[in-house]
Formats: sequence, C-alpha cells, structure tokens
Amino acid sequence: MGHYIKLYFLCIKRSIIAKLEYKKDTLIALFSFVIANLCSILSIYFLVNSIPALSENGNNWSIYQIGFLYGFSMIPVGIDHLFSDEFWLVAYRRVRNGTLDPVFLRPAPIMFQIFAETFQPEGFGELIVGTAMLILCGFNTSINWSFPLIFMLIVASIFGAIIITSLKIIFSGLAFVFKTSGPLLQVVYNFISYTKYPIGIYPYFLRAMLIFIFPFGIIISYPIQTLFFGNVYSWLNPWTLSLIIVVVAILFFFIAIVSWSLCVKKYESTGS
Amino acid sequence: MKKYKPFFRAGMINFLAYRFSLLTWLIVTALQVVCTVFLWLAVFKTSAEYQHIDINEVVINGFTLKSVIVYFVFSNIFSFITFGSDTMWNINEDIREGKIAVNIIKPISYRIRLLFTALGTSFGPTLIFGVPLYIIAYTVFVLTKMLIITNIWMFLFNILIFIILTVLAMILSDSIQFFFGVLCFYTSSAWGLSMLKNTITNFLSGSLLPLSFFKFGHFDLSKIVQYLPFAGLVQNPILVLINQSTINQSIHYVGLSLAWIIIFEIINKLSFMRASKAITVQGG
Repeated sequence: MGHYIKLYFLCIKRSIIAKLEYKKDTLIALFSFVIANLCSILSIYFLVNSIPALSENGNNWSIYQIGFLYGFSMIPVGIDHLFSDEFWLVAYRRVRNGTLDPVFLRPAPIMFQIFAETFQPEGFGELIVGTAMLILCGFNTSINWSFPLIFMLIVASIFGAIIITSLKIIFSGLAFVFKTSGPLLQVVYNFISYTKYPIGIYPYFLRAMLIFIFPFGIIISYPIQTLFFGNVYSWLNPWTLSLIIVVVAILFFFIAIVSWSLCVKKYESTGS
Repeated sequence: MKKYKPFFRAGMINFLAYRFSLLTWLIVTALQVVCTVFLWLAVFKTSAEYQHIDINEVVINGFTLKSVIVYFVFSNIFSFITFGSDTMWNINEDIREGKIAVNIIKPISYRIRLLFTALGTSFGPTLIFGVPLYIIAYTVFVLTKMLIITNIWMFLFNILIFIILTVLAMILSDSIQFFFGVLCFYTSSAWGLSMLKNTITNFLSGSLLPLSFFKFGHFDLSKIVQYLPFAGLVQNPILVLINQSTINQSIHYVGLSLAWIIIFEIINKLSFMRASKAITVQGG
C-alpha cells in the first residue's frame, strides 16, 4: 500500500512539473474559469435580487443562503476535479485512440494509473471560488454553528467527492465497452449543476433522481438545507445524514470498482 | 467489397460520434432549460406570494413568467443556430479541434475568412435545422397562449427585423471573433483567452439572463450593458422575435448592431495591418 502512495506522488510530481512548463496557460485557464464562475454567480445574483427571497416548500432562501449553497456545491466537485480529471480523457478519447494500451502493459492497476497520471490544478479554481462564496455569504447568514453541522459539511465535502469520482469511474469505464462514453458522462456530470439551487424548486421526480439515482442532492442540497432550515426529515439530523453519505459513498465506490473491473476485462478479452 | 468494410465502419463511427455529441448537446441543453424554467417558476411564485397577486400578473424587469420562458427557449435555439453552438463542437473536439484553433489563432487570409463565414452562416445546415425549430417553438407558444400575436403587420415587421438582426448578429459575432483572433496573436495562450471571450460574450449577450436584470440594487447597469455590442448578439434579436420590442426599439437595435460592426471592422482592419507587418518583419 505504501508503495502505491509513493508511486502516486512521484507520478503527480511529474504531472505538476509538466503543467508548470506551461505556467501561463495554466494561469490563464484558471483565470478564465474564475471569470466564468463569476458570470454564473452574477446571473444568479441578478435573478434572485429581483425578489426579496426565494421560497420553496416553506423555506425562504435569502440571496446569501443561495450563494452559500452555490459555493458549497463547488467543494466536492473541486476535490474530485483535482484527482480524477484524467477519467474524462479516458471516456472521450483514450480508449478509442488506443493511447490507453501502454497503461495496460505497466505493472500497476489501471485505475490507479489513471488517477496518478494527472493532478489537475484547475480543481483549485473550483475550491477557491467555492470557499470565497462560502465565506462571503456565510457572514451574511445567521447560522448556529455546532460541531455536528461542521462535521456533516466536512463529511459531505470529502465523501461527496468520493461519490462524484465513483460515478466518473463507472461511466468512463463504459468507454471500454462502447469505445467512447464521454457524452454520457457529461450528461450525468451536468446533473450536479441542478444542486446549485434549492432542490425544492424541482418537481418530485427530478428531486427523486437527484437523491436516489445520482445522489448529488444528498451530498449538497440536504446538508445545506439542514444547515439553514433544520432537519429535512425529523430523523435526518446531521449525524444520520453524515452516516448516510458515508454509506452511499462506500456503496458507490464499490460499484465503481466492480463495474470498472468488468469493463476492463471485457476490453482485454476482445483484444483490440 | 470486404476491403471497404473498415472504411465504412470508420465512417459510421465518425458519423455516430457526431450524432452522439449532437444528441448529448441536445440533452444537456434541454436539462439546463428545464432547470432554469423551474428556477424562474420559483422566482415568480415567490414574487406573486409577496405581492399577493396571481403568478401570471407578476412583472419582473419587464418580463412576465410566460415571456421570460419564451425568451429563454428562443435564446437557446437562437444561440445554437446562429453561432453553430460552440459547446457542441467542443464536445466533438476530435473532429473540429484543428479547424477552430486555426480560425482563432491565425487571422491570415482575411478575405477568405470573410467569404467562408458568409457562406457558412447563410447556407449552413444549421439554418436547415433552425427554421423548423423556430416554427415549431413559435407555434407551440402561440397555441399555449404563452406568446400572443396582437397585430399581423407588427408580427411580419418583427419577423423581418429579426432576420435582419440575425444576419447582423452573425457578422458582428465574426467581427468580434476576428478582433480576439488578432489579440490571441500577440499572446501565446489562445485557448484560455478564447474561453474567456466566450464566457464574457455569452454573459453580456443576454443568453443566460435578459439584460434588464443587470442591476445592483439602485445601481442600474442594464442601461450601459444594453449599448454594448454583445447585446445585439442574442438579446435584441430575440426581444424582437417575441414581440417584446416596439418599432422604435427595433430600428434602434438595427442601428446599434450596424454601428458596432463598423467600429469593429475599422479596428480589425487597422490591427490586422499592424499584425501582418509584424509577421513580415519576423518571417523575413
């Protein structure tokens, strides 16, 4: 195990050095990303600013609470972005182009190699913008901070990232079977953007999809709703929610490993 | 026959990949539209509750719930048709990558570029998709009473102005692209800059949100933003199409777009002359 950790950091170091060669490009990409998010945030600001507050199902969201939700939605996404960015390339091109074959020849698990191949600093962009939103909006909302709430948010961030990564693994793994699965992964990934707003505004079937199928609602919407408006259901206090998130994360990671292995086996057996 | 099979397969895979990414783009956009419509619903519902009036009577920054949904659907269709949906091509990078990069980075043959754009935008297959889409959307909206045609002459006038504004938007968009293309020539990272340009353009064109919403409390930015060139790219044509524009305003929009095209073309010609001089000095 220790061997793999050492190997990971070696590979990441190589990836970062390569990225630093193109420092200007990386910085400009980061800058563009921040501006893009700024525009998105401004859009929501302009929209919600036209009304005193957004009410759904009895919850009245102030503009700062919505901003806080927006910021928090970027944290698990950012964490996942840092580590699993290479899976996008796997899904879109690498299987089809055959540039994945050298990876099969090396004596390390393929999934590990994909992780180790790229450390994507762009993820920091999401983390920076998200944290900035959290701080700026957090000051303007009255939250009774308590240890259970903070614990819940940390759990949601980390294990939420694990869920997002697991979904990435599952859908990029399908590329081994279908030659490319990038577009499908894109669609699934885009569902996360639904959680930027209070999910109470969506009809039941959409909410159900965001909770039971792609559990982005559980890791983003529910924690924040619990933070501002108390338990979503009487039994869903911060502790039980954290527990559910951890269980779901483990479940999804397990499914990811199994489905990835199956897809890789199928790929190897057909021998392109 | 058998030896042609791999070529056929390759062609099919390419074709399917293209179709695949088109379908994906459609799904992704449809999902975004759905998400935004529910958001608008919540906004208007809240406003209705606060003002104790019916939701259909709420007017926010000049828009009712129906008109804002109509605006948003058309602005998405319009962006896709008129600008060849950059996002869609980005999804299909493998095929388009080289072409886009060349277009943005090297403003080499200005005349050929202009010719290509004129051909591509006026006779492109996107127009073939576009007209039926417009007609379908328009019919649906009129039938569901989301869009109301009060006067047949006004309607025809608006369609005419819409066509004019669409052509102007295509030309203006090309001018802005060219302007950024020359800029990219002076800096090395074209990709990041083009992303930046796309983001700012999309934001200020009114495709995410009508420009009348651009207010910070009492600080009304919308007046300024309406005069920027980007407004003419999406918002103005759409406002005319959905009968949200008076005759005076429509003519004003045409004049505004024309003025910006002239301004950009002057800048572009000057900067291109300068850039080509630099090339000849370096290239020798």
